[in-house]
Amino acid sequence: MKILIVEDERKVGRFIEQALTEQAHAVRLVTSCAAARDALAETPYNAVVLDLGLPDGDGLELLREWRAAGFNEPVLILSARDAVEDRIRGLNLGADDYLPKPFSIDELLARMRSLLRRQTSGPRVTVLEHRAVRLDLLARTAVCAGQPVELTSREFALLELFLQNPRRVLTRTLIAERIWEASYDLETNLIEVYVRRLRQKFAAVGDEPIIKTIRGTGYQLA
Amino acid sequence: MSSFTFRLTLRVALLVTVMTAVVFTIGGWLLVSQMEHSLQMMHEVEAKELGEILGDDASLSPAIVAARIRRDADSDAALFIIQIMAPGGNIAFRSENLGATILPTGEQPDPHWTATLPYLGRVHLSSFKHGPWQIQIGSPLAPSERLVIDYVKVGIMLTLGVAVLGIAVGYLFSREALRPVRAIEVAARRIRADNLGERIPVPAGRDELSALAQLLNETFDRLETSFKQVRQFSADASHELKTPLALIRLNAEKLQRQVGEDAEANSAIADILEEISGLNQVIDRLLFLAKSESGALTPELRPFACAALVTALAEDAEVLAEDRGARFVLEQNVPGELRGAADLLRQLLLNLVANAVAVSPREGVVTLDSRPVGEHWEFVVTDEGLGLPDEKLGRIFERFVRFAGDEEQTAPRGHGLGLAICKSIAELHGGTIRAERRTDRSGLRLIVRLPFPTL
Repeated sequence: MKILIVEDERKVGRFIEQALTEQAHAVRLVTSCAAARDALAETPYNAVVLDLGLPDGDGLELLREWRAAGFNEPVLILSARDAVEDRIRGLNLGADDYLPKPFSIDELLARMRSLLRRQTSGPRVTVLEHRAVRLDLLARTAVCAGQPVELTSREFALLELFLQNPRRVLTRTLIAERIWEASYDLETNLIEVYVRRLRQKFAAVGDEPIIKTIRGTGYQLA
Repeated sequence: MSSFTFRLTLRVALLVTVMTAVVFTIGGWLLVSQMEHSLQMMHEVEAKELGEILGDDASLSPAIVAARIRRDADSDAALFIIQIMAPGGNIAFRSENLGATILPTGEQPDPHWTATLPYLGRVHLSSFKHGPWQIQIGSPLAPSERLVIDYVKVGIMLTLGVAVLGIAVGYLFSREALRPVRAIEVAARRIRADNLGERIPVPAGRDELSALAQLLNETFDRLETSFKQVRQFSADASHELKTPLALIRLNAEKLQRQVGEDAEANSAIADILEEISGLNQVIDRLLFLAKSESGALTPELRPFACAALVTALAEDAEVLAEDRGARFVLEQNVPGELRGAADLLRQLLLNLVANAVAVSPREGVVTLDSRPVGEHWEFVVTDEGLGLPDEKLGRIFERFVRFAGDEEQTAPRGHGLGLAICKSIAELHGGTIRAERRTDRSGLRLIVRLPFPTL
């Protein structure tokens, strides 16, 4: 896939460029609005990673122009701005996802993957399985090694999120966003507590707990 | 009615009433002196007439005097009280209406005076010298006093009428006078942090009102500039702080892949990553506080069902409490529609509950109440912790304030900003937050009050 990166901080841009290149994408890095306009005008890209604070303008303005001109490919906004309004405005203007800085490169790759996959969406999954765990999304039941496990709605949603992203490290920000729809951080150890409860309930899965803690980053399905 | 309109109305009414009262008083005074003056004129005319009838012969006997007066004097002499003295102080004539009363004869400095006489009451008297005769003429004041009393009654009634009318006139006047001011008020009210670009229409002409509107507009200009600066600062600070943070993070992750299985190096890198996310959180919270306290943060306030929010929150609260061996009890969850940013309010309540759970002893109970109280909606969170002394209670909402004891309570990675954020979220909704000691046992009550019913 061809991906355009618009990021004025060259070093950050290089990191993204390198990571996406390693994923076998064709990547181009530009550092200004003007260069981004030219790049998109001459080549059709499959996706754009867009930083908002650019030296010669606002990334949101650029996004508005592109969407108005009929550019429909996924756009992932990357921003140091913390304001929720910016996030909402970005999504309203047609961004597909929003990743606040500082981000983990794995997080960026995962989001990019899911954005690109969304375009070529496969059949709908109704049952998720991982090792001895089986999650029925329609009946909303969980089974572990043949034994039914009682889960609250939050626990179910959290486990579903992990099973849908089996190899991916889920950051606290992402979990808070997906499960609690929190646009601000939760300020509590709520996520830790829920992860601990899931581990206890699925202690029968194996020697290792079902969810691993990746220090400083988040959690991952074991 | 706003109090200024009220005061202005009262003032106008008072002014009109006082002026009317003064006019009536002056009228009354003029009336009384005019009546006195005409009595004196009549007395003078009558005395002159009597003097001419009696002539200069002082030796006339009282019988002749009486006869002459009865024959010659004008019939309206009967209207007056008359007493005539011959030289030497002998009384030569007394009119019949005097009865047994004798008019005082002593020297008076003034030819006219008023005396109170037995049987006759108050009488206005005049004394004239005609030839040898000392002629005293008087008129009872009762009829004119009745007139004056009637005048006063009518005057008071009219003044009261004017007072009532004055209130109506005053109200209309003050409304009319304040109309442009009200227009300015309405326009100024419309201007808020989220539409600071708007301005008050300046009335035509160069008068006090256009000056006021201009002054307000200049103030709004300054306000807008400073809001812009805060927003700009926040965006700049965010960018300047987070971009290097992003770079540190990306580099640390790169290192992580390179150090492979080295446990010590891995742990050090994990520390770096943890510190980065902690630092990131502090930056976010500080910027949130900066924007919120300067008024530059304008979350969209929307109606939402309070009970549903509290129910969802209670599920998380129970989990948090259970995890620390405490118990969470949702006491009251009254249904009602509040207006606000639901995600911010949820964060506020979750923070309070998490704090309460963190200070709870084993088996301690944390409660939450959500209910309307008069014109407010109250959320009350209580804990059974050690509580705090009074002098610390007021300070717990300040930034970076943590009190001794927190360390033992193993509060989860707090920066002392949580309650400051709670306070600013409450204030963003036009509400308040306060902490008090429980009276029934040790522990704290945290009370969030939001305006309700919301306008």
